[in-house]
Amino acid sequence: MGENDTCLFRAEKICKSFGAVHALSDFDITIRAGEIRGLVGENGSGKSTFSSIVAGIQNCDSGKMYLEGKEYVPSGTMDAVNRGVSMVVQEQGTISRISVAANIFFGKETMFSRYGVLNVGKMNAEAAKALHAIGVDTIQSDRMIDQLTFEDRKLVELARALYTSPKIWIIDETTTALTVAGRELLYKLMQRVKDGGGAILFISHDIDEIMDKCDSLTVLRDGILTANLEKKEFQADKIRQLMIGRELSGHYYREDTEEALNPEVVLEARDVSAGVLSDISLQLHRGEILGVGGLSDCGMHTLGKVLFGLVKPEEGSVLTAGGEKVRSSSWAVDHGLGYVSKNRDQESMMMICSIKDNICLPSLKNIASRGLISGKKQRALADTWSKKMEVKANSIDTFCNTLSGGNKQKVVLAKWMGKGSDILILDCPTRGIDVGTKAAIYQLIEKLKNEGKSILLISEELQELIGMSDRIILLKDGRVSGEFLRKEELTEAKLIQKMI
Amino acid sequence: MMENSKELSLAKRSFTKEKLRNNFAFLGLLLVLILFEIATKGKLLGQRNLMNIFNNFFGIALCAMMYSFVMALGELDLSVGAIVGFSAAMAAFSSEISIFLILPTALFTGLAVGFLNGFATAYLRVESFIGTLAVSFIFRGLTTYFLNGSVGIPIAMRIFDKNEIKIAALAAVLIISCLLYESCAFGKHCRAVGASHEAARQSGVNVERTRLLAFTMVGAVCGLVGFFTLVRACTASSKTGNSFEFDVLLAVLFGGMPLSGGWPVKYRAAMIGSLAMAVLKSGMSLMGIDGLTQQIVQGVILIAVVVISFDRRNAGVIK
Amino acid sequence: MNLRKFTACAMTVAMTASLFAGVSVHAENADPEPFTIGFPWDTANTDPTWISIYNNVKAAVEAAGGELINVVTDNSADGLIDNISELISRDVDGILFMPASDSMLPAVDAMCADAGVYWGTMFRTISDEDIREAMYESEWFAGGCHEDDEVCAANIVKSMADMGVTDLGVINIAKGDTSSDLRDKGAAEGAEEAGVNILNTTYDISVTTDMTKAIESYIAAYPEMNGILVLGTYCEAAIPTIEKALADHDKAGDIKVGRIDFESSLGEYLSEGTFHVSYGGQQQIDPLVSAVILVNRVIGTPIVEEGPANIITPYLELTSAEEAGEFNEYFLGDEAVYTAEEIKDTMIKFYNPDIDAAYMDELISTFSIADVVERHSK
Repeated sequence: MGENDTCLFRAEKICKSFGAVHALSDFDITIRAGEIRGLVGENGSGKSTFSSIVAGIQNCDSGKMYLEGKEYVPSGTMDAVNRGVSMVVQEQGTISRISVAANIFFGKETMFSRYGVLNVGKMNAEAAKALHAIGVDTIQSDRMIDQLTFEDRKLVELARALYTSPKIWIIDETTTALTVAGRELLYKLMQRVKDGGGAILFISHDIDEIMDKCDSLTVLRDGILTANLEKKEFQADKIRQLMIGRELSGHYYREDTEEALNPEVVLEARDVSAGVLSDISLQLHRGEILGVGGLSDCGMHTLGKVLFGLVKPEEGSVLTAGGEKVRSSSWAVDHGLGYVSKNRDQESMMMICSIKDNICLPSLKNIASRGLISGKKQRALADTWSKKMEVKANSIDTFCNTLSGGNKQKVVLAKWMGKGSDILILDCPTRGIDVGTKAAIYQLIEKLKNEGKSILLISEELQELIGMSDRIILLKDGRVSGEFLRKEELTEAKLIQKMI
Repeated sequence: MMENSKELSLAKRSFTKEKLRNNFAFLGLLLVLILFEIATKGKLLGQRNLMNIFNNFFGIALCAMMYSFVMALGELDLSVGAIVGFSAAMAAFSSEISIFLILPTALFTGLAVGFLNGFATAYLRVESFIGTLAVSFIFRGLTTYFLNGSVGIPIAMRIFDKNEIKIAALAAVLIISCLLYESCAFGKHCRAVGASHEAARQSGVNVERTRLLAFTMVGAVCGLVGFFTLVRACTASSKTGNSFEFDVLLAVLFGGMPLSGGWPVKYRAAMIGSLAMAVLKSGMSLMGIDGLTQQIVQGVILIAVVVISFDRRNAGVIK
Repeated sequence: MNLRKFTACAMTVAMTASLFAGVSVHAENADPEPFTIGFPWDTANTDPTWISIYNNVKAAVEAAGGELINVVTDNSADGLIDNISELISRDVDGILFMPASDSMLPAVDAMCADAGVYWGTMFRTISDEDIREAMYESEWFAGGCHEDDEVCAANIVKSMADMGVTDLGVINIAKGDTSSDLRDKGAAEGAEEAGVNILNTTYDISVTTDMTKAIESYIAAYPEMNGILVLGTYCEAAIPTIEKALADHDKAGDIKVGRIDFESSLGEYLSEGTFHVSYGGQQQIDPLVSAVILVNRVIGTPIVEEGPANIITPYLELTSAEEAGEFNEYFLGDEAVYTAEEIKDTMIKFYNPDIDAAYMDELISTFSIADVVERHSK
């Protein structure tokens, strides 16, 4: 490779094993100054392992890394940051119960302290500057981080990463957590780093985004480098194929187009107002996939929670088929509703807990005989549904925190399949999930529809809504702003009009 | 598949760790037993001393079994000692009306105070640590106020302080609580709420009712402990049940129950921990170890147990 | 699971081994048969007074060749019941304890009668008439010492009134405790007689922070307060805590401080003039003589042939720093107020058949700080 002056970062023969498993084997990569390098692969392909090695979170077993020609062995994340490598991660990377400013300068507090006393005012001012520098003026730096939305916390992370003007900026599946505006901001910042002679290692599941933003692309599969592509070689199908190692049909959404609605209403919101939502009325029919879309803060996530009984409507009511009012989530579950939250890891599943117990939780009363639950019945139920959902795990006793995102989501869905719920409210069910699992989830949704179950699909991906829904309702600032029936000529542009 | 085997090995590793953690308390109990059996030249497990171990074990185990539910919720109940004292006091007063009222009064008083704990924790959203501490103060105060010293009950009530009756009571509570914990929806709901109350709620668990019930059950069993304490000493005083809350808490922690709650809370920890506590106390007493040293030993063991059984997976993990 | 099987085996082996644990037998005539006395006492408490109580009981038991077995207690009724049950299972011949209430005694007597074990009390009398009658009829109750709490409390209030105290804040042990109740009663009588106004009484203080709070709230609530009287407390370092609180509010010396029961720090404050009077000094002689009563009964030579032996220990008065210094040296040291040898010669009926109730009363009436100093200063 030689001492090419545009070569900013080089890694040679990186190996990393977890027990008998090789997460990375002899992985080579060269990142040039001023480029945005994409890194794609299925969940568990080693992308995150590699990025965490570069960011100093873990060490590699063998292999060497060079930064600007010098050997680079980070002793920890702080060391990596000081040497110009910053990372923004997929999951929540902020620290709870401290202020925004304290988050931005976490580990660098000495900058603002004199004789061991922290000058909070100075730190807040500097944090405000850091936020301003990335174009965010809506977040006050002295607020507690917990008062911010998930999206805003991501922005705080961006400010933290960019404050040190990184040479290498690793962005690990961050875009799924951001709103449209947030994404635009991120792209702008990426461009800024790039123009400044830095480089970006961009990890994303969104192939369109990768193709649009990256200058070159590295594909990983099972810890092995599969391909390095330049921008001119980008082709969506080819990339997918390289990632998965097999052909994948170009469109994995539903193929049928128009269909008559079953007149039977199974779930209905009547003049519901709650939080941002005002005066929402909608009806979910039997066997229907009802898509709900809008900008991230339009209230669609709250709507899902209201329909499931998690959030009490301030006005109006949610009714089931029998005209009964949805009182609480436990009532809802007993009456055939199921819900998958957007924040899967926090709300939909118990992490320090086995697959079995997660799957069985809503069905405990169903499998009990005279109030007693046998271990056998639990295993049978969990086994059946984890097999049907093709959850990849050693056994149903595996703890969920060791699973990949896609497998976690399969467990969450298996939970409702096992319960036999007739109405499913799915809030961003494919968020942060690899292509393979995504396709499986779409197939499942379609299968459920054909079985006569009703699905309310809340999604931030318009393509997904158009591809899957029988009917799409769009929200804007908490109100219904448009409704579309499934038609071939429906385009994203038409939907966006109603969203903003 | 690569991904599969990676998960497999991760699972395997966490499984061995889990195994170690699960059996740690058991090994500890074994160690304590052997150590004291040697140090006391066999007196520890002599027939007579077994009775002492049982007496030490009885009250703590009774309460610890129900305490499992609260621990599974990831909550604490610091009022159990106060409930024992208060229900013993109320039962002692009721004996002035009729001795047949003693047991029902003790049980009902315990249940009512437990309900109060549960209501505060579940519906008023008071942190259980604070809420039960407050309840503890209130009922300790009320006990002292009402008793104005101590109240005795007829000495004939000592017939209830019999091993046969105690063993029967212990067995009954054991069966009920074990079934509830291991084989009923309620026990699993408790652990689910402890693991992630939001995930539990979204899976149809009535989180508030689960919390309320768990605290109420602990209260009721404390009433039972109060009854047995009362018939043993035939007197209720403002010091009845003194520091019982710490004995129980120590026992469940000795057993290896994590404070974080959730699925790692194993039912058998209550039994193992109570037994370990009883053996430890009895063994140290038999060896003539003075009170100061006993406190130090308990403290050291507690720290060791908590360090070893602490579940690091609950600490923030960066992906 | 293997582990469980292994435990089961280990337990079985251990239990079998314990069955073979030998028992040794002695027989002698010049001394009483070897015996053991069980003593529930809080050996975790490092207060010098509490340690000296243990030492004095030990001296009395060893004087007759017995062995003292301690179990740690919290001195609560139910705690003591557990302790007594444990001691019985360990085959003691007699049990000495400080009762937490009258109402616990029937249970104790029932347990001891079943097991054939003598029991004795220290520091406490039995106020409840029914219980007292029943206990005095029991052949297993050896008796014990107590102080005349009521008279002592009345006198210390009067003594404080003589120093000019008119408004008094009071600290006492938990309500329901026999001594506490009697001292309350005595204090009320003394106050009425001497025209002292008792402002308030705080009970059951067991830690220094609570003591500080109690004193501070007295200072805040009663500006007229010119005396503080500790009728009794289980709080460690009670007087230093009170003195500190008073000093912090610039009241040290202005407010007269009195206390029933001595403690080690009194001399310092007496010489500074911030502490004024203490009645007590029975904490050593009371357990010692209580143990003597029980030991005599256990070895078959009871001081009183019929019924329990009850001896009232007189209180001593401490008003000078010099006395306080002597008290610390000779009462709170490692040595008991009567050594095992002295007890053997003068208080064990086995060796001295002349001993009876009148003899004991006379012996004790000569007991004073000066007496101990004379016997033990060498």
